[in-house]
Amino acid sequence: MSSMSKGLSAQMVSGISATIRLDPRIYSREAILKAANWLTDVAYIHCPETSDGKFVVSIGLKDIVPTLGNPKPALIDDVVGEFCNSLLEFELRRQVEVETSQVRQLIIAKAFSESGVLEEEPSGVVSDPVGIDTASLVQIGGLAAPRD
Amino acid sequence: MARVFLPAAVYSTPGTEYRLLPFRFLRLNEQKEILVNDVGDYFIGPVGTAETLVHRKLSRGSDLYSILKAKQFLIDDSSSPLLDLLATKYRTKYGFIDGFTKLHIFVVTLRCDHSCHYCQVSRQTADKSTYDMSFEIAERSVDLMMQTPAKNITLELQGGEPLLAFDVIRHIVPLAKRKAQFLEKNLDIVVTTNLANATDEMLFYLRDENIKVSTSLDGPAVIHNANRPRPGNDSYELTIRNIERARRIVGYDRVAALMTTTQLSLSHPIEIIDEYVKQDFHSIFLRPISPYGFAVKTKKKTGYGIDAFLDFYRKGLAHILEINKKGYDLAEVYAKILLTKILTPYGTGFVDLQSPAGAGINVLVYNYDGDVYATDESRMLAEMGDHTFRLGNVRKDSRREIFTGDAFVNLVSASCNQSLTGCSDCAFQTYCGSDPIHNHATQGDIFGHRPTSDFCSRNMEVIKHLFQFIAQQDKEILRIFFAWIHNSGLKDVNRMAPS
Repeated sequence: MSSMSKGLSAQMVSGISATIRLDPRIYSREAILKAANWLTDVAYIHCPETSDGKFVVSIGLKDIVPTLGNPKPALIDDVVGEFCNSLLEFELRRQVEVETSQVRQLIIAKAFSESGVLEEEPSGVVSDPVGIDTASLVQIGGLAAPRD
Repeated sequence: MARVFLPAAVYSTPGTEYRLLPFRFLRLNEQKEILVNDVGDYFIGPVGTAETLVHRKLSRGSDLYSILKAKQFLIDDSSSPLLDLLATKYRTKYGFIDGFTKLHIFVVTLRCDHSCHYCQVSRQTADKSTYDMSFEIAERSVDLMMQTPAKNITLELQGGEPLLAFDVIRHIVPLAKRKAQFLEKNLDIVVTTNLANATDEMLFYLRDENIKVSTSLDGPAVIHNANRPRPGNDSYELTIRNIERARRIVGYDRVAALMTTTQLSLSHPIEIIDEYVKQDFHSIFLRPISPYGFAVKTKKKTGYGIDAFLDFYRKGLAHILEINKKGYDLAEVYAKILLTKILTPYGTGFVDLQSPAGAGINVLVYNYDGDVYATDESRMLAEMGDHTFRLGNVRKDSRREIFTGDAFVNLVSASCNQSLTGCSDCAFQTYCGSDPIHNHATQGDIFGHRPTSDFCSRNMEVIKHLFQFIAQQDKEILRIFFAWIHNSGLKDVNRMAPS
């Protein structure tokens, strides 16, 4: 049994394994490997070399027969389905990472820098409804007090 | 002073596309997904929210846009004060690193009179006094402890059964207090004891020296005695009598109890919680059993799957919430730690749920023989012949040698969940932690294998379970959660639902 979608084709083999061929122009290697990693509790994963430029993921279920330790082993259809869904999610995550890694490094650098103070004053005009001229105030020990 | 705002047009840059701020997401179920940014701010929305955000399908005037901007998932101007705010939040979240090692565990003796089959210490019968910490090692250990940069430190006296080495305690306490005073450090002392050997003289000493007591209560007699056998099989009766004595002499609020979960406990969450209420305790820690020490050797009695623990936890939490609703203050500590990370800007001082992991960085264990370990669990591995996490020895290693040695450096390389496979993309990264020692003990390497990690599945499921409550926005339950977070009684909590 096989299924096709844009850039991806899956071939099931006798209910215990599947081979998925992925177009590397659509799916990144990073997303594929991350999605495959989450299957390694229920399946053995192989990524054999190919001659047609496609990325191939071969999934072989670890448990097929129910045992006391694993009374409900995973089904290959479900595993392949989950893999395809999580592939899309990991692509999204990769996009977020690409767009935000620099600002993230900036935030962390700021967080652990020695200065730790705001570098920009908030914009706006400070005024006092009571009518004290703020320019006439002098700073004494961090507190504003009227000039004598 | 009033601040006059300039017209809104000055602040907005119309026509500019928004930019993403760092975040992760996770599908919660068929309908919902959760987005969490780097500082723990979260948003629960329909499946597809992350995709809408990332693919620029959000319209600027929409409610969703405003919410995600307010929660710092996106930014639409180049003003750096917003980034400064994020940096401040980040620093707050990781404030627990500041000061380095704060919890110092002294294993003053390996001797114990109980035979608990889950015990994390090796048992030695009471007449083998070669397993007590010598005065010389105690002094060197106190010296090392006081070299930590932290201003507020906790000295935890442990064992075996520490009261069996009371002379060692009497040697350590005044020495530690003198040095703390000289160095202007604040020192808290707690003794972890089964109280079976606590004489009145000892209790008076604990009172006079302001030492808190942490004892074990596994549940009603049937469970407690089955878990903690001792000659006479009266551990429960003895514990209850001694809790009453300790409360009377040391101080009612200075005696706390911890439970240990075993196979037997898993079937009786309600009875265990009711016992804590009966004994007038106001906090209980529903924690899983660690896979160390005698627990590994006696796996049949103590081993259990993650599903069984989660079932125990959910039932226990539901019962605790009902108890709170009826007017009795009872906090569940595991939930409290996670809720503090989820609902407040703060991180946690709980060393088993930190990233970087608390091992060595926030906790250090000084063994009776002078060996220094990253955590109590790594000391247990050593008792079983695995010295991977022995950082050094107080007799021959300086602080610098301990913290720059291979053991510590290797440990730290797997300590940050930000860079662990599986964790690096996880929405719950900020709420969770890492435990390289647990990974080593259960999976054979310090980095661990997330798909089969019980640490991962346990924390993920508990966090999801707590988010179910948070998403319901039940005001009564949220008030209970905030009472736990703020260590206050329910009637004192004014905080209502989070935004």
